[in-house]
Amino acid sequence: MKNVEVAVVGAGVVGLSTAVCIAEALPYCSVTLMADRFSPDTTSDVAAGILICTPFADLPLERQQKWFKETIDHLLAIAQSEEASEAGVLLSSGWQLHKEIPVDKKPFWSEFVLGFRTMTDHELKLFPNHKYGQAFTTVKCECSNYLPWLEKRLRKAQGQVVKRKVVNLQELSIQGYDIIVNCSGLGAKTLVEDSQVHPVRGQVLKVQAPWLQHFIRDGDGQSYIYPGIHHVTLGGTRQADDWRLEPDEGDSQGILERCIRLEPSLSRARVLGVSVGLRPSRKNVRVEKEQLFLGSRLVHVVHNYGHGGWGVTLSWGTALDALGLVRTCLFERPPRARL
Amino acid sequence: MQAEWEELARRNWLTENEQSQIPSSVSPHEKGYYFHTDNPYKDWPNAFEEGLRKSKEGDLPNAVLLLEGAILQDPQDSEAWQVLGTTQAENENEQAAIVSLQRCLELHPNNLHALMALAVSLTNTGMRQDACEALLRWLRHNSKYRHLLKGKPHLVGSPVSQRRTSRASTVGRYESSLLSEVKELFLEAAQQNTDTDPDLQTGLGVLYNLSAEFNKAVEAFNAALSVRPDDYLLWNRLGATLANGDRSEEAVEAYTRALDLQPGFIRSRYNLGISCINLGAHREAASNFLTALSLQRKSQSHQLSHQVMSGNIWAALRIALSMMDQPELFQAASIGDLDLLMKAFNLDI
Repeated sequence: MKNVEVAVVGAGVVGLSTAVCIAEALPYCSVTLMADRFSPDTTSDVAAGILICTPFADLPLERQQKWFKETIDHLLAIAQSEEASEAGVLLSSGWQLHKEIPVDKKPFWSEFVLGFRTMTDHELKLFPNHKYGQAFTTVKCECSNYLPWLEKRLRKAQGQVVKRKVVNLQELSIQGYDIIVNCSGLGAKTLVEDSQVHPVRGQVLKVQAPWLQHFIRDGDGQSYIYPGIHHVTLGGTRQADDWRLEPDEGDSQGILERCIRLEPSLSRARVLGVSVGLRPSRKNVRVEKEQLFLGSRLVHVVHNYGHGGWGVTLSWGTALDALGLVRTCLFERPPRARL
Repeated sequence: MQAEWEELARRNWLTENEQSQIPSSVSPHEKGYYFHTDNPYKDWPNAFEEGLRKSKEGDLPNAVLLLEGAILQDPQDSEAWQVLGTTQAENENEQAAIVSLQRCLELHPNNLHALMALAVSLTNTGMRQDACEALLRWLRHNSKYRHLLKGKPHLVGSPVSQRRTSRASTVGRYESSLLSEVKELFLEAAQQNTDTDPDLQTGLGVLYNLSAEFNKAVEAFNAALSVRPDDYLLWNRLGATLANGDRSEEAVEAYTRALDLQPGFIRSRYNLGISCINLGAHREAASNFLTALSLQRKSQSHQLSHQVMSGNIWAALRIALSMMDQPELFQAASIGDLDLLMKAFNLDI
């Protein structure tokens, strides 16, 4: 009998993670990952890839905790392995700062990062504009390494990788795919006509500042400094419904000014480049399945998109959830006819 | 519920190597046949003849009881086992069909009808290797074709399965080579024939189903139908092949022909329901499953009704109801309330 044909749409960190999870766990599924853009041209490639998060409003916190924990545990294991440099996964220590004392002093993920604690007054003296802060060690995942590493892992698990633009799900149904996994991010807006998906534009600078070893993030999400393997990422912007992919000179100026305020030594850093990414935002990330009649066939669709700025942070956890949904699809497929 | 769906999945999707990953409640090698405990026909005179007649009329549940009665009177009656097997297959009760046909073949090893029917049932349960071997045996015991096996000593003699090694990797490779060898023999046999042999074409259709070459299987069954246009079993096999090859609309036409010829043909009714699911006609699907279940219940047995109805028809009914977004009907199916469901769908009991 034939294998179950699974199409995964999207080759960002969510699509690749999901494809790897399915291909490795379900050997009787033929997994084909398809996308029109691959690393280094995905939204994930623009992301700094640091594991922190703010929660989605209407999803159970336990579910989001599980996603965070599964992702960071998965990445910590890579960081502790010989694969770390190739996969681009490293530990990163630093501070999250607040101008006012936050209502919730313990983010939902605080017990999953390493050594989470409130900053001492002594530490806070480094940041005179901030009243409160948290220190911890988390994971930074460099997508320019991590995505090709995942792709290699997918191919090793017999997954196929195809460059093509998927215009609608019907074409996949007609081609005989039994299960479609939608990891199209912002593309879901047109692919499944989800009007809830919208871009939140983020611009970042890549600078050369190898003397910086700690990350610094302002809790408002407007200013951050993330040292990585290849460069330091400075951000950022959060411009809702702004579709411009071109760098904005004014934004660059603002980012630099805000970051220099946090870390004055950056005024001597050389700017290597500017990147823009459109965060695939949605009120709540969509990890669920449905059955659709497409091209006169009943097809299972598993959705895994709308991660906003937390795609890397929740990638492995939501991929495992999507795998679980694919598993249930297998059991729900209408039975075969009998001769 | 979950166990049931897993069982369905085991039978329908995960038919090969991955079978072992999912615990199954029914062993495919189950040897025993479970007789109805309270059979009103157990001392019936001429039970076999009457059972055969009922089976031909399409009163499958009573045919089953009569044939069981005949066997209780003479457990060595290989013909009764054969007809019981084919009737249980039409009654959508594959496990009972397989056990009955195997018993028939123990008593009468070269019964060609039983070998072909067994090959079909084994194909349906995903037991490809055993299905191939049944078809090979069919060829070997068929006076028209046994000469084709001359010079192929590895295909003659004791069942090949007894000689196969237990290593999974070699079994997989061996299995596909057996399938292609048996297929070649059947094609060779077809070429030597001047007239179309519908049984040979049926075997070919089964073999092409095993290799998922559904369009070729359709051709084979169509060839068989050109000789036996009133054979409802063939119409159903054509329909199932079309359905499994993603041609559900055409499958519906074929099942309709089968059911016109034999309205009591429960398997074809079940298959029609499945095609309705695939086409998005959930209400029609549920109606067909309910009709099949109520036909099964209409037997003269005093057995509890759920014991005469097929579990996989109930499971398929639940799938159809789950898509209709009517939780009270789904609930009724979960507790097996056939009367309530028949009423809800305006079906006569």
